[in-house]
Amino acid sequence: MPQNDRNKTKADEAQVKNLTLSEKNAREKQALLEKKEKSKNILERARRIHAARKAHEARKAKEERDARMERRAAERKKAEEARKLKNMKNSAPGNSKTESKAMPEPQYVDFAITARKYKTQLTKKYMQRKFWVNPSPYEIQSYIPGTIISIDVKEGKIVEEGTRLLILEAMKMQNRVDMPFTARIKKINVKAGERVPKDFIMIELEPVES
Amino acid sequence: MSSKKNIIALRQKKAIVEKGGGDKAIEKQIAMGKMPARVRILALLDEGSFHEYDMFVEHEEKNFGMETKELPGDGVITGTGTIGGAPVCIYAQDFTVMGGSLGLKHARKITKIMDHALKMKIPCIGINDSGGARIQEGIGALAGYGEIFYRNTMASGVIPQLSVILGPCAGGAVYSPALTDFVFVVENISKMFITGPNVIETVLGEKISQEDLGGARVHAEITGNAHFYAASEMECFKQIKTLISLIPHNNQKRAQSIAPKDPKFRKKIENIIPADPKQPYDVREVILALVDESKFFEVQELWASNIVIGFGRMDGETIGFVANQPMYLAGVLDCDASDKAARFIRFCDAFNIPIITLEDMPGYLPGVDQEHAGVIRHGAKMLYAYSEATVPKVTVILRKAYGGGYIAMNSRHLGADFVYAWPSAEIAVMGPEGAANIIFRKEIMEAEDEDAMRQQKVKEYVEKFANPFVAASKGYIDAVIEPGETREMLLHSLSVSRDKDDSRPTKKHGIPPF
Repeated sequence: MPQNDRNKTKADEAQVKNLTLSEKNAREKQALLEKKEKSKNILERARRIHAARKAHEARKAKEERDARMERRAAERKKAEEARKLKNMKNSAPGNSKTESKAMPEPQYVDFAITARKYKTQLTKKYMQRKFWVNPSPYEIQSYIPGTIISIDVKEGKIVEEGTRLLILEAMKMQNRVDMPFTARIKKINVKAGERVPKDFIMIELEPVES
Repeated sequence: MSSKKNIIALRQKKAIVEKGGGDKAIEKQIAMGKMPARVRILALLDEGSFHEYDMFVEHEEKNFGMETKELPGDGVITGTGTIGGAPVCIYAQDFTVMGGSLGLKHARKITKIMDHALKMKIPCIGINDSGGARIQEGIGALAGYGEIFYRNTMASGVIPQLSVILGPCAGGAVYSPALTDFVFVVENISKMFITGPNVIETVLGEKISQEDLGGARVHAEITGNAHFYAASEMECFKQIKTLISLIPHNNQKRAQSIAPKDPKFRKKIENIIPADPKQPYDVREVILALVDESKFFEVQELWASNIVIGFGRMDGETIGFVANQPMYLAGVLDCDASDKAARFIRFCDAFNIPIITLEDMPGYLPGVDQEHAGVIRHGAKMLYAYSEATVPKVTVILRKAYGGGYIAMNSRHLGADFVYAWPSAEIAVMGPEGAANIIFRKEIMEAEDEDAMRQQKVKEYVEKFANPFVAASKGYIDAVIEPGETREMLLHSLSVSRDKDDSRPTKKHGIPPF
């Protein structure tokens, strides 16, 4: 009986060992897969953002072009009106006083709210508003204006997640900027001692193909 | 004999203080395009009405060579007087005395006159022209600022408080004006900021001029800190006089009423608004056609122009107007417009001024910038302000009233006393195009000609819902009125609600979405 028992326990132990081994393998595999998935996701996101930015720039360029055209058309119209007014002045000098006093006609633009476009004027603040840009994970930006104290990485090197990239001093506080995920350093846009504004792209990264 | 000697001595002593920083400093002040502090007070108040107090107050600082320095009046002039017969307390910082810098005694003079204003229940006017805290006095200056802020807060909603920025107002000093009800700025003279261009450049490396950072135009147009913008100091004083004539002395009084007069504006009210809901017009013309003498005193004209706020008189009484302005941004509500209207509504409510709301708006402004700027939080301020107000509240829906905007613009549901609509009003959950796209999505998708189907469905929706009668059938609108009847209806509504008595649950204070 005891002999039997011992055999059984041995077999059990082996089984457990095998099991843990295979489990460990599976877990490792899983982790690898997850890592791959994560980097794939980041890559995709970066691509998507790049495309969106390009589209945004194109749209902005088009808006500017349109605005320029409109302005030119308005100027032409104004010049024509001025010419007309001059002609009228020449023909009827008594009338000119009331004409020149009239307020300039405001410039209305199309303004879309949900499914409808309204004719209206834009305010200065509205025209100066900042467009939202989806931040790319492959660009390390300064989240506060400040001074670069030191840079701890070099271009072209693969850097592990969590490693210190640089120290950005702002408001008398030394802020440590870490690597958000494992990637290769593509370009470093700052030098130690340099002052950077807010949202400045300090370091550019590129994905590591595994 | 000796009494005469004493009188002469007093006159001499007074003359020294009245000279402020001396002739040279006054010349410098004038060269900067600014009036000396005493001249400002005399220009603003009724002739011969100004009486000064605390002329001989002296500072007590003993460090950094201050013990030998004499500062006339400690750099601030305080007193009482009248504006158009209305009593006011006033103080003016004197830039010629050590740059108008604020030390403890300077601050104590200001807090003393503020306490006086609060006790006498009369408006308090502060003329700010100061380089900031008197660094030599250190923490004493900070204590002074704190004591002023505390009094600003205690007096808020009890007496009207006006701040006139006629020079630099930097650092901690800016918070006193920010706590007061109305801020006046003058082109090229007013400068307000927390940290000046020098600090910004040394710390952050960003270069900007004082004017671009916190000039009069910036605060009147971009930040909304200023309520009135003037080209010169004299124009600014005129604005103050007009405002004082329109508001009551304190929260237990009504504003002074004058003899009622008919509007002068001769354009027919129904011809101001285009029938096409997409076309703009100037809503201020509608207000001019409604108020006595067609006189409308607009507040924050340049900031968030998509909503118009200001004071006018009806039947000789002061009324606060809130109106969507389709001429700018189609009259939408956004963060700034909500802030602007909400604060004005709370001022009117605190000082017993009835509110008339003119509504023509397509909804809240869509966009990432708006959402991220917190349009939910800001928009909620308007709901809060209207719901909380217990003064008479009347709404006229001129044209569009869609969605959340319909509720926000003093709807019956938020406690409006009277809601009227013109026959051109469209009261619906959203614009007809948007609504048809959602409700008839299936029909539109299945149709052979999608566009034709959409057009037809939009037309159906417009006929059925884009009118005031659906809301009127539910009693949310009290009357559908002809545009020509509007003034008469408003005058009647205001006269019947003169003694309105509406109470709110007892509480220490509410928690508005600041």
